[in-house]
Order: sequence, then C-alpha cells, then structure tokens
Amino acid sequence: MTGSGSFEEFYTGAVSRLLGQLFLVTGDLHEAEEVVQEAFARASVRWSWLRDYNAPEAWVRRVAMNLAADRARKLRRQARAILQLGLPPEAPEVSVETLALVEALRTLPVRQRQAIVLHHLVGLPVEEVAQTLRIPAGTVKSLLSRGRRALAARLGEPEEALYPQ
Amino acid sequence: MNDLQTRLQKAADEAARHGRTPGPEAAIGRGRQRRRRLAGATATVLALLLLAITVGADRLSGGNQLAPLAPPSTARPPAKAPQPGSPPDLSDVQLPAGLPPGRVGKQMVWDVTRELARCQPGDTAGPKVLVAWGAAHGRTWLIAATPPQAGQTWLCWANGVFDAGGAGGYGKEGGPGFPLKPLQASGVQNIRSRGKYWGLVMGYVTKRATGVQVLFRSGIAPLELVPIQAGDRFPVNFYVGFYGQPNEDSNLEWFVTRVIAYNSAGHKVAECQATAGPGHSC
Repeated sequence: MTGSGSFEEFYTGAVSRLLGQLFLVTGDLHEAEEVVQEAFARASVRWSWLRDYNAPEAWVRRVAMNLAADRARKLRRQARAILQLGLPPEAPEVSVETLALVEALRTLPVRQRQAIVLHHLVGLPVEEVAQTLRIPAGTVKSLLSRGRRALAARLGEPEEALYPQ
Repeated sequence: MNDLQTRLQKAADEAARHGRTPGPEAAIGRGRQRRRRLAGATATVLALLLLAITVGADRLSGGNQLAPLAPPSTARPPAKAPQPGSPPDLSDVQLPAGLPPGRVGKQMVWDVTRELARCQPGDTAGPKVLVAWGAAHGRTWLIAATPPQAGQTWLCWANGVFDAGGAGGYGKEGGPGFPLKPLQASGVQNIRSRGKYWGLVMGYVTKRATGVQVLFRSGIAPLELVPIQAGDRFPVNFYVGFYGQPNEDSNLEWFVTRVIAYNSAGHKVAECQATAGPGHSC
C-alpha cells in the first residue's frame, strides 16, 4: 500500500480522539475499540485515495458511527437473550461521573447519542451532523433537543444546568 | 464551553486513556485480511456454482441415472481464494463496456462489483454488470449494477473512484430500502490532481432524459451531461461528470446544489436538491 507511513501518522494522531467519541456513542469501551479499529482498517485499504482529502478523520468517524449504529441495532435484537443470560455490562475503568454520563447516554436511541456527540463533543454544526448521519438538518435539531432533555432527566438535573440556552 | 460539552470531553478523554487499540499495523493487516476474506467468499460461491452446474449437467447427460451429489475423488479441487498478487476472477462479471486496463483495472472492477452483493445480504448470485467506466484527472471511475428482476422497484448499483495504483473509494448504492427515483446523485470531491481540486458527480436518471444539468455553488459553472445508455435490462441510465473546484472544500459540504434532467424537447423531466438538510432529494 502506498503511503502507509502517512497512514500510521494519521492513525496515531486520530485514534484516541475517535475512541473517546465512539465510546460515548456505544457506551462500551470494547465495542468502541472494535468499531474504531474496523473503521481504520477500511481506511487503510483506501488510504492512497483518502489521504488526498483534507479530512480523512471525518471519513473514519462517519464509518465508525455507521458501524456503531449497525451493531446497536443487532444488539437490540439480542438484548432479550443477553438479559436472560444475566451477563454483566462491560465496565470500563473510568470515573463515577463518566460512568453516570455514559449510563444515561446508553438509555438514549443511538441516533440521539450520535447527534449529541457529533454536535456537542466534536463540535460539528448541525448541517455537518446532518451530512455525517445522512439525515435532514431539521431531524438533527429534533434529535439534539429530545436527546438533551432525556439526558438531563436521566441524570436528574434540569436541562438548563446541563445545557444553558 | 457549556457543562454538557465539558462532561462529554472529560468522559471521552478518560475512555481514550483507558482504551487499548492494537496500532496502525494491526489496522492495515485487518484491512488486507478483510479484502482477502471477501475474495475467498466469492471464490467459494463460484466453486459451489460450478459444482452445481457440473452436477446438473451430469444429471442431464446421465438420463435416468442419478449422478452422485458429492464430487468424485478425481474431481478438480475447489477454487482457491485469490492470493495477493494473483489477478482477480471476473468470470461472473458482464463487461459490455470493457475493462479498465491492466491488472489494476481488473482489481477496480472486482472491488466495485463485489459491492453489489451488499444490497441484499446473502444474495451473491445476481448478475453483475460493469455498466461504464472512464478516466480523467488521474482517477478511474466505474459504475456497476445488477439488472432488477421483474416487479422490483429498486435498483442495486455501485460506483468507485480509484487512483492509478488501484486504491480508492467504492460503495454500493440503492437496495431494497431505496425505491427507484427518476433522478439520483452521488459523488466525491476534493480529488487532488496536478495541484487542482476536482469533484465528481454521478448518479442515475430516468430513461426519458436526454440531458442532465448539474448546478453548483461557489461560482462553479453548470455541467451539461449526456446520460450513459445502460441498455434495456436497466430501468434507468447513468451519468458522470467531473467539475473543477475553486478551492479545497474544508467543510465537507457538497458543491453540487441541484441536478435537473431534460428530455429531447428541452422540458424538465426530473429535478432533485443535492444540498443537505430539509428538501434534500438527490
């Protein structure tokens, strides 16, 4: 593969950032590691094309977000069986505050989580979130509004404290 | 920075510190393995198809005598998965438009046509047609599609854009969840070639259209395109065009704003809005 050195630099510079973002979407560190690694694997075979773009990280993020959504749908189908087996949830080694936030995020639909992470963490404007998720901007606004409200309720805090208008 | 952003950032930072990723070499290896697995799966399907044809032919030629369901010990071994370096097997691809040159060209066709199987998971037996391909600005583009069955209201097609080394982006379009429209547009941009940036717009259009006009933002002149005739097996034709970008687009916003299809009398027969957000219809 041409440009593998550049790919390594790109990987090293972006992997931690993407891992943190996907952790908040998946709610599971191992799941986040898996989708991020798969997204980078797909980027690696397209690298000589992707490197020509000024935002290959956005491409990897979009692939990882799609993978996370696909896996969330599969997990939802398997959820009943998993609950019956009584398997404990994955417990990442993070602070109590982070755990509480992640647990609250996990109760939201995956689209709301993606919108919140892309807009409030990555800092993408609504239009770019819409492009990344391939949904209308109006839908993104709705997802953000409902997601913030639900998140505040799960955390037991007023929405204004979490996100002052 | 609001409280939500602060908390999200803190959680993301903690996850990043504790996360274990195996490194770029592992990602590269995984990417190669994935490509080989896809090649292996296709070879297995072809081997089974060959076996089924062989058994069927034996049964036909054997009159009332049933041929054994398992191949005899002298039968040829099953096809091996293509090894890295060996040319890809395109025996299941119909090539009315010919092939891009060289082994690299075959690999591009293989990459794009394998995407067609993704429209319907598990269905790898549909005909694969390389409808068209072309080259400009250091890139080769390809369009492949599977002719729809009778009554099918959707189309499975795939496209790809590759550099001279055969690396590129490709993916399937359409599928059961995407009913056929009179006009559709996809594309890529920020293609760098000789110090300039180019975008590529491609899609399908109703057969009633004899011309396709692509409109852009940022002062890019409209593009007038003639549809590529896909033949009677397809309910639509396709179109492709390159456009020069005034600059590199750092916002990942598509320069294409609107696509309009015209018939031979110059009347509009279809139109779609390409910009993201409410009203997007391409």
